Amino acid sequence: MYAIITISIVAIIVLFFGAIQKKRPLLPIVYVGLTLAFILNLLEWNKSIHYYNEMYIADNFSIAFNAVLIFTTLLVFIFAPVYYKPVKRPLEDIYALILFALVGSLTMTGFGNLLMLFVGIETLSLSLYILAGSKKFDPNSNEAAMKYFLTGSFASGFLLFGIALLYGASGSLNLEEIKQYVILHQHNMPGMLNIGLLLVAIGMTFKIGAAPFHFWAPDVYEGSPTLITTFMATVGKVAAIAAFFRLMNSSFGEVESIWKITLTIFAIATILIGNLSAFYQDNVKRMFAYSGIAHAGYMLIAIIALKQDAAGVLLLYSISYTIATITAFAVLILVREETGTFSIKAFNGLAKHNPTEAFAMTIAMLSLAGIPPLVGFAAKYNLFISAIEQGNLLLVIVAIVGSMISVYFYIRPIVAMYANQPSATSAIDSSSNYKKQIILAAVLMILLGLIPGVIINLI
Amino acid sequence: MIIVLLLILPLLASLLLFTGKLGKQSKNFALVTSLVIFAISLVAGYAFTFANNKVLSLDLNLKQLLDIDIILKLDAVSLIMIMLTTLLVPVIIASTDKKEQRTHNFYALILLMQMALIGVFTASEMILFYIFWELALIPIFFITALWGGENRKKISVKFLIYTVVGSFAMLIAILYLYTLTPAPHSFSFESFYQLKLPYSVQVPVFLAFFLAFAIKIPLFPFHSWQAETYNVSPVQGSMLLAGIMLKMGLYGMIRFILPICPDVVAGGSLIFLPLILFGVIYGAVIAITQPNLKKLIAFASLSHVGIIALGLLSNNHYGIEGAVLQMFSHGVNVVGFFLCYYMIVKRTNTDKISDLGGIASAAPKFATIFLIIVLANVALPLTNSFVGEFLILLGVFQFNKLIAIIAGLTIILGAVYMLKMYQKIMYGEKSVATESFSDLTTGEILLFVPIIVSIFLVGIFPSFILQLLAP
Repeated sequence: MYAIITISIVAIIVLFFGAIQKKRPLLPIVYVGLTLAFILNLLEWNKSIHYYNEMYIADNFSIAFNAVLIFTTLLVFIFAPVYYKPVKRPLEDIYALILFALVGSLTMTGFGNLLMLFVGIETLSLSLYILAGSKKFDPNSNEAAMKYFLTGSFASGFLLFGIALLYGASGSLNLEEIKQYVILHQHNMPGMLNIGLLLVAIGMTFKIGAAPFHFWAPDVYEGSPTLITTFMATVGKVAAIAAFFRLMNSSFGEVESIWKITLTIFAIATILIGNLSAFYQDNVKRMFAYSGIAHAGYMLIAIIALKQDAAGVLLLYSISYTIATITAFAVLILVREETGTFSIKAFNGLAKHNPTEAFAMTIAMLSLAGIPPLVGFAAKYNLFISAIEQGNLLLVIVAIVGSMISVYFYIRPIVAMYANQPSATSAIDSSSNYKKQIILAAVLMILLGLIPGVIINLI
Repeated sequence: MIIVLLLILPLLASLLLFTGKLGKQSKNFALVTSLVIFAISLVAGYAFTFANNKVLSLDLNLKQLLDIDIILKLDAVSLIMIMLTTLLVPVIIASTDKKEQRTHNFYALILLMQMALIGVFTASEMILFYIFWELALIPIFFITALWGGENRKKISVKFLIYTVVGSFAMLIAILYLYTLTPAPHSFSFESFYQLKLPYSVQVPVFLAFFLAFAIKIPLFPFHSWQAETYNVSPVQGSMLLAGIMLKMGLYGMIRFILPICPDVVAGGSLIFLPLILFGVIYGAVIAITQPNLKKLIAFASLSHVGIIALGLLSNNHYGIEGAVLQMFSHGVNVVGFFLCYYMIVKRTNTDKISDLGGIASAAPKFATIFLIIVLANVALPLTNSFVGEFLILLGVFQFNKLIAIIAGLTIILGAVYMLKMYQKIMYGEKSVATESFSDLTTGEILLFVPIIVSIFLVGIFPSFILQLLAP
């Protein structure tokens, strides 16, 4: 809870400094604020405090996910100076909006009440709508914002409608009370509750970008400024998945038969659509959008197959996806700076001049593809094991087939980097700070791949 | 502890090489390291012969931290495969020519590959096995994609996709078997061996494993990546692929298919043994008409490993014993063959058989060495292949006489393409390319020493390996 308060205050301070046109202190304030929030968040470990009438629950699940989210945002901010180098103005609005979006996502992981879930999602989404359009003079960015806003508000409508129906059926918005109600009526569930649950599930599926509600993702990811895409693809997705997991497994864990089949179909469709569509992309940014869809499908498996006490596997998966994606986007931002294109050709011969970046990109791609011994493999393997233990053999087979397909498109940038002749004549120079972050991420991917147990047994 | 040393040393050396700190000394460092590893593997062999119940095992209790059990075991089959790996890697590293200017990354990848291979041959836990199995793919992919010849990109990606498809099929089978183990579930080989699966379950498990191994070996009809990849890969990469990596597939057959699906192997052999046999003949026939020396080696290898697979799947003592011995011999022979190829290509810049000729008169030392290696490939008595193929045929004969007779006849086909090739390259008129062919230098002869020694050692005195395999 103190983390949320800290970040909100930092965002307001940032806005204030922007208002008085001071550029230099902005980023240092953000760094210090996020680090402080990270520590404050961890201080609540193992205490399981319930705030404000069960509105917000700081249990280990939410703290662990919040730590991931804050850390990821910190990484995004470290890449910010390079991305916004040409921009002269203080950018306080963008920084503050990212921080507000983070506040929203932190609220989502620990909600104890459906209203809190809605507030969190709206805080996150509204900030993201604006951020998607933050390149004011770029038509693509405007298009992305418009598309995201229209479809996103529609999905929020579904979500809210579903919440209303759940309230109508059970008489409460509190997760624990809904759970009691569901257990009591599990043999004669009222239709209103079923429909409400379905509508909420549709709203959440939209937010994580899973099929059949994924159509917004490729265009929005492609059109938004790359740094915002990075944030959207990592923080936005992980927060929504964590919230979805919490909702399904805490309140409706006892009646999984009514939602399991629907979600299984969603997961299979998501994995296949994501991977097959990514197969044909020549635009790397768009490819990552589809790769993100596919990974949302894998994470749906976690919701279907994991029990509340086995959330560590989902945590590991989120971490592996987040680190790899953020590393890949960091390299993509650099490459785009130099070549002005997101096409796969932009990566040609990167390894010659920038071996560090090429190495990190390789590790990220292999980790996303799930090649041992990287963290992506450890995450997938634990996920599949859990799913197969619950008897979802078919789902796992589809997921593995999806991984096979994904190897092809993840390997393409690697081949381009190492085997093709460079198109640029000189090295792309990046600050040493930037390089250090990329290396840190690559090392993390290898290290966590070797000792995944540390994360899995955490919560 | 010695197993851990065998794994850690190549890993550390390769990491050190990746940093590029060693500069010009990279090759020497890699060579010395690989020789040290060979020495350690000899010590391991020595320790093994005195170990109780013929196995060295090690269980690091790190389940909490790593989420997988590190169980490493060294039994006779593992030991022979490790000896093969550690014997060949120094030869492969030493064979790189000074002129080729390989960077430190090249040697680092070879050592990383060695580490992964040793891991595959010692792992005694399914997921650990799978991790090493996939890890072995990455270095060889980069070696082919970075230092390969024409069209290297397309072919290396094809190779990668092919093998990854097989591996994922195997992963599904592993995960499925895991759910069948009694609770608490376990991935250790022991718990997998204790499963008594009904026939209907054995069939899909067999198919999944067989797909993975058949692609890796490769067996007909999953071989279409092989000739291209061997051809395009730098010669060191081809040696790693043909000499050691394809043994992973055969090793997997011994480890999984035979103990886990015994009924399918016993009942279904009449379906897939003829298919493999067809692949053996197919490889040999293509090798006869092959104009390109490197592709000839690839198809000859396809034919030879088919025979090894026949021996394994005939599933009796002679067949398996012969197959393990032949796995060792084939690795040595094919690397020797690739070395000869390399010597020729280095001097003439061509690998078309029709462009070559008359080398024997210019290079008598090379002619002798090449002849020994060719004869070893043909399985002449007193060479290593003879013992292995003889035992394999004996095993197949016990299983099915007709298949054994046809398989025996393919050895004649082998003699046809080998001797025809040797005659065309070494005798006859000198061609433009071989006009100024110089004989081997002392350094190059040294490369052949381990190959020739093991050809005769195993050929004349095979019992030191066969004794290890005796029950």
